[in-house]
Amino acid sequence: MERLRQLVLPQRFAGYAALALILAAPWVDRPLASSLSLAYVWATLAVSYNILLGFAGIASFGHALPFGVGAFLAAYMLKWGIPYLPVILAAGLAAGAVYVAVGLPAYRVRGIYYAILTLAVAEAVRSTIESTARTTVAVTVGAIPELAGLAGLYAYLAVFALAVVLAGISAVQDLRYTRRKRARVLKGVVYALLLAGLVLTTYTALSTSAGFLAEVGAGAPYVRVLRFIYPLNVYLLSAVVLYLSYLVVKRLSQSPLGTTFVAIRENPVRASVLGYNVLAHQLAAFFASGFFAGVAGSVYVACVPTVMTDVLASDKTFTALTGAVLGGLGTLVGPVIGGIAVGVLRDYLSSISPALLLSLGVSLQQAQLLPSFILGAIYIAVVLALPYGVWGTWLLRGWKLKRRLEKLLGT
Amino acid sequence: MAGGLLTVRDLHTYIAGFHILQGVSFEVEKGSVTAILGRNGVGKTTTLKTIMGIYKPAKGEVLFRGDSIAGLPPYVITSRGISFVPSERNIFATLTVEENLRLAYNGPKEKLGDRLEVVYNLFPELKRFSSLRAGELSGGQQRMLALACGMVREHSLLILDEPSEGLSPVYVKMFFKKLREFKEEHGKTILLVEQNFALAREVMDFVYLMDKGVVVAGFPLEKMEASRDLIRRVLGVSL
Amino acid sequence: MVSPELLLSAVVDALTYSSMIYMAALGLVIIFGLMDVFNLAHGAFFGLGAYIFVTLFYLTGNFLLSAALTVLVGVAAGLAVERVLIKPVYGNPLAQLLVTMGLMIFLFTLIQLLWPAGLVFPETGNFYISGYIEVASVRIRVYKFIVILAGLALFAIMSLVLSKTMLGVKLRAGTENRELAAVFGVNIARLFSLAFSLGVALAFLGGALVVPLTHATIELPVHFSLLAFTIPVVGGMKSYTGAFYASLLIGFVDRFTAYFAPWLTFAVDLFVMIAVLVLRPEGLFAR
Repeated sequence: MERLRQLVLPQRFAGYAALALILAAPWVDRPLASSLSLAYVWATLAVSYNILLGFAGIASFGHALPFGVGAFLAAYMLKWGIPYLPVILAAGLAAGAVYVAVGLPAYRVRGIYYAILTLAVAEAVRSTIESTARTTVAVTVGAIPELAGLAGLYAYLAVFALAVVLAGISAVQDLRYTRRKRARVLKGVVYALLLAGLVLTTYTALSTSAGFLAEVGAGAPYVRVLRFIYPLNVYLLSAVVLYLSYLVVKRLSQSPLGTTFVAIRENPVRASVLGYNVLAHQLAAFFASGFFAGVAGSVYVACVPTVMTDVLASDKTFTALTGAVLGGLGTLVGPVIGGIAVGVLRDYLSSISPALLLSLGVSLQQAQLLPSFILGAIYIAVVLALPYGVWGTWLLRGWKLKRRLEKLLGT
Repeated sequence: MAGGLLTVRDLHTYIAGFHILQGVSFEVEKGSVTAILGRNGVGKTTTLKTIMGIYKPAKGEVLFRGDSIAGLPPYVITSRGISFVPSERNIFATLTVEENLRLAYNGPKEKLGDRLEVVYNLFPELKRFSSLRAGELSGGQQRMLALACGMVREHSLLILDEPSEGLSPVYVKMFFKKLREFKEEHGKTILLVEQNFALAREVMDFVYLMDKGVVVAGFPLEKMEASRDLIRRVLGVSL
Repeated sequence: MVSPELLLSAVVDALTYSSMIYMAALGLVIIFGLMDVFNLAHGAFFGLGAYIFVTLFYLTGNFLLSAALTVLVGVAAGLAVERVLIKPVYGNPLAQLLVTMGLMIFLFTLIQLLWPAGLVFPETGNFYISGYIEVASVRIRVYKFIVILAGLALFAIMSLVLSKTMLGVKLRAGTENRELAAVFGVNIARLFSLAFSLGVALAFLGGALVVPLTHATIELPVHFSLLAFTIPVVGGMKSYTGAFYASLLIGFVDRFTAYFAPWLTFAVDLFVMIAVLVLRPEGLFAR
């Protein structure tokens, strides 16, 4: 029980604050939350990518494949009326299995060849599907029933309130263990402001919900209910999935299995001579990576109205890759941050006012490409300048900044 | 001992985080045959490669003719007049014998023919196989080719890394004979790294002993008897 | 039964295609052979060359001049990219992969941004470029033979340069053993810049040469990227002659499949690549 608590809950105030802030987002700004829902999908994809590249050290350019498989499978299954939770699991398992199949050659084939192979396979699948299908393959899924229920709202509010309370407790604990007066005062002010904001948001959340529930009681139209509840539930689902994938990676990295992965990554020949079953470990990594990519795909279905073959396009791989690299390959938190950043950036770039663009002489069609273009440029810059990613570099060099902060705070 | 052709001072090199050279210092006098002896893994090859610019030293100096060459790219160091013959993978198997020699040669084009003649005179076998791919020569012939490449280059210092390794005794004898001939005729300075003590002592004028990443002692051939205990401890051989 | 006319047509197409693939892939092999950098952006350069060539052709109306200028742009682009993007990550294979992939995406989106509708290579009055010839009652575009000849010429020139010139010796030496080449006095940094810009220039040239047949579309670089990537794998990652024979193999396999089972083409290409990877990982024609 204690181990579970240690795994699931954050250790420091910063963690609790982050969780609480994440949960607070929809109550502060609805549209932001919708774009964040999708960003969390990309972040989950980045985390799944990190399992393969950051931990197992295998570069795959076909990551769009499990994602697409998960998305399509989920879309079809939902159309057939299968409940959502089993659908998510099925999507994950199927994607994991597919990725294991793709992962089989990785054992025999060296890194760069394998990467090209995956690129070719992903493209092959996509182009074969597109050329054999007579019309564009697109699956539109209506509202997912589970996400339209009120239960989600109650759960959300409960978790949110709990998170804020835990954050408060953690803040107090943290202050208690801070010795120097100057640091304590500064921290105290910051924490107080944060908590005040959170409490205020909790209050807003509760009152808005109360008002909403009253409307429901008085017989509000279904559309109104949907409009309020659905995005909220999608957001919660997306955030929970992201958090779970993060926890799995965290657990993995702290386990003997994690160290085995590192050993295999650094020197596969030596590892196999030492008796580790390299193939099995690699396939396991493929499965885990594929599983979460597939799960991300199934959540993607909830975020967008239609699933098309572009889910298999290599730019999804690229998004995951950019997120993982930007955040920091091989780190735990890095891909989460990087993935969210990339997702938000994509969304922002895609929604720049058309009027502004037209005035700059950019056509709408070209505007669609802007996100990839700018992301591509950012990506190149990051790989060159911050090879360890933002978080990775922070972990490595952050001590310099920390020292300065400590000097300032007098600790 | 100032005025050496090559001076190495307090050289430190790290490879993959390992501190291989921990303060190597020695000097090579002009016109001498200087040997660096030591057991496997003490850092002899790393020292040579650091001098040649393949590895960048973390600390220390390398002076050639008084100029600092530490950290320069290998092709610059070669053009300054240092010719290096590595211990293994020291010729291009996919190139012909003659192509190997032509690539090694870095002097004026008009003199290429003459220089090749000189080398072919020293190694008549190479002349016979000059248009054969170097990979098809025997091991001993390949070593000859590697040495020939070292000699064909314009240089004032010739550095050889374990030239006798893997060679049959016949070849080794011939090799050192050619080396001595070449040195006598052209007045070159030679720096030799060897594990084979008995062989090195045939040619060397001055010797340095290396152990655990540092040079522990250096003395001329005449003073060797006096250091027999040290030699036995560092190299594991008795005189 | 397959008619002889169809067969002839298929063979000519296959030879043309092989030539196109060779021109797209040769630069890739040169770069990888010497620098151990797998330039994922190579196909994008191929496409960029195609677009620039057509644009220049519209401006100048002169085929050869446009081609020459395109090659010059390629050389400049290669030098710039090598200095800014490749040099900093030299020695780090993962970063190299990542950077070239980023460059690939960047160039693809750049192409789509600059030329959203693609470019059509215009009809010219020139017999060699736009004319047709009758061979055994089959109407074949003359330009296809030009492309085939260009591919052969490229192979011949490459072989000559490699075997007869000092540059060729240095390239072969550097490809075999970089460290030794440095010790032999080869300026590796300069050789790298040269090889990379040569490779990119070849990609540009290839794109320029194929565009009268294929027109400049966004599928062009995508399609040829993947085909070009299979060549080092099938022919031997560092083998220049291997690239030639591998292009022939892939060209024939691809085009014959396209004639008889079009939807399978890419799958078949992939199959060949996987087969080679599994059965003979060093490449079919590597020495």
